[in-house]
Amino acid sequence: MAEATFRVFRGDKNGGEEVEYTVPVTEGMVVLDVIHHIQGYTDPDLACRWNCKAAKCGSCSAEVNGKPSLMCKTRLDHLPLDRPVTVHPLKAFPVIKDLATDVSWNFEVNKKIKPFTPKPDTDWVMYQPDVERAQEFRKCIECFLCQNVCHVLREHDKHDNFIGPRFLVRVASLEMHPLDNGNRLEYLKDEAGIALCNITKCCTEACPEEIHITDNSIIPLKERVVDEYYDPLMRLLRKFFGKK
Amino acid sequence: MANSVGSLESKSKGFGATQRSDLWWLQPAATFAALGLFVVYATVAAFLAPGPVTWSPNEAASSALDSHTYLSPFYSPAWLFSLGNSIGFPYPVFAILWIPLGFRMTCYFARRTYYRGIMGDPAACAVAEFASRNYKGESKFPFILQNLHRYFLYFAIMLVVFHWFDIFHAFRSVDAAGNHEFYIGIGSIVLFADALFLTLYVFSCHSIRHLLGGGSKCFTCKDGTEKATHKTWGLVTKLNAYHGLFFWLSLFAVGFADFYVRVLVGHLE
Ligand code: SF4
Ligand code: SF4
Ligand code: FES
Repeated sequence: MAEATFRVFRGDKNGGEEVEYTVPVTEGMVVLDVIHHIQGYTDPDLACRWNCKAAKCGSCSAEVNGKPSLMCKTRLDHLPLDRPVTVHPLKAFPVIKDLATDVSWNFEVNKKIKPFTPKPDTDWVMYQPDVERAQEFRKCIECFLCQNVCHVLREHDKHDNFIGPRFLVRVASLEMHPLDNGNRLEYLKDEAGIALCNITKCCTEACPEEIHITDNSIIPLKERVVDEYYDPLMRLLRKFFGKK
Repeated sequence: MANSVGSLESKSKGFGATQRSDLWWLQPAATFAALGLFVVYATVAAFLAPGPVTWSPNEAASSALDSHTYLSPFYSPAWLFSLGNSIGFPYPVFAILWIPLGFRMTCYFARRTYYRGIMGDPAACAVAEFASRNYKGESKFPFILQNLHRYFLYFAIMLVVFHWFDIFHAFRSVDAAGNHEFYIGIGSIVLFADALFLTLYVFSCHSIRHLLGGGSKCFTCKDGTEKATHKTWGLVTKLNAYHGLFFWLSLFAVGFADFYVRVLVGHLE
């Protein structure tokens, strides 16, 4: 039977090292199967998170050969198996153990976003052309691969000043909701740190749900911030014609 | 909050450190080469000829600005060039070039392209950058000026109109007596391609997508009747998916059109 070599990160927040494992390869295998094989036959204490094995729960995010990926969606026949494959935890978040990282920062960020805020006298009727734009954003499985690959968090460590692409997607889904009446522009500019995103699109490349994070959520939000803060002409028009 | 890059992948390995084993450096390298080539060409070209580069199949007519057949798009619109000249710009072509330069520099696609290919910020995804704890993104000068993109867009739309006006010139010739007749040459096609790709590039812009409907909360409010903005936004959204392609095509087309007219005029001899 064919075999392949994997170098899996073992360690915790104090550091660690790659440990090499040789695993039999069968047809249709994914990286998560490899981890399960290691747990079953070699190292039962290898830690990893997973749930659905169907690319829908967003738990098994890791870095395979340096690329942020869902382990359950990364097939071995798409990897060069003639050399060792590396499997590391997400780098934008602190390691708990081995492949499990502490992503709780994300849940704290989420709490600070103003939730859906309808007008007091809302008529609960919506039309398809108005809702379909934001439907794309509902596909998010909170795998946080976009958060992990975003250089603002990963390289520049701006966790205190930037909410990351996943939550910009959430803000966009609220801002584009036809019945929402909340205003999140000041939040976007000052707290969410939208200007720290330099639209280099790594989030879009990493998203397993193929959400057009940059083009359909971040850039439209940046344009809304421009309307409010950086476009004197628009301001003047608003003054004359009232808020549009 | 501290990320774990430090413990997993020593930062001291510096720029380019990554576990990626694919050819991640290919795209930034190609971008660097392509943008670099264009910038060098455009700079040399702009400083090479003080006057507008025009060509006409009829020798006698080619010197008169309003009777040219081909006008290099670098010098279009010609009236703006003349204006720059009369104000006393040492290089009047810059009275025009600030428009495409400003539009392209602040274009969302171009920003991604040069932040990656020229500034390495990041060069590719999950690849280490030059160690910088001072990252400000687009929140401070000079990059906060990217917010002016829509203003450059307004001027770029004007440029589109004038490029089409030059197409009208590119398909006719004027003889010494001032008679007009239909004319078609390779240059007519080259200039047509320039106008077409520029149009597609400008009208697939992210700002125009926002201004033509994307910025509104609702496309049918309040009564379910579809507003015109849904259609305009939908159309630009379709084009917008190819914005990057149009960026490169129009960049190549404008460079090539200028080059072609210069070859005809004999600038390169
Ligand atoms: S486009 Fe913005 S949010 Fe997405 S990865 Fe790049 S910097 Fe981060
Ligand atoms: S936007 Fe995409 S990459 Fe980001 S958390 Fe959601 S599904 Fe994952
Ligand atoms: S195990 Fe659920 S997304 Fe991979």
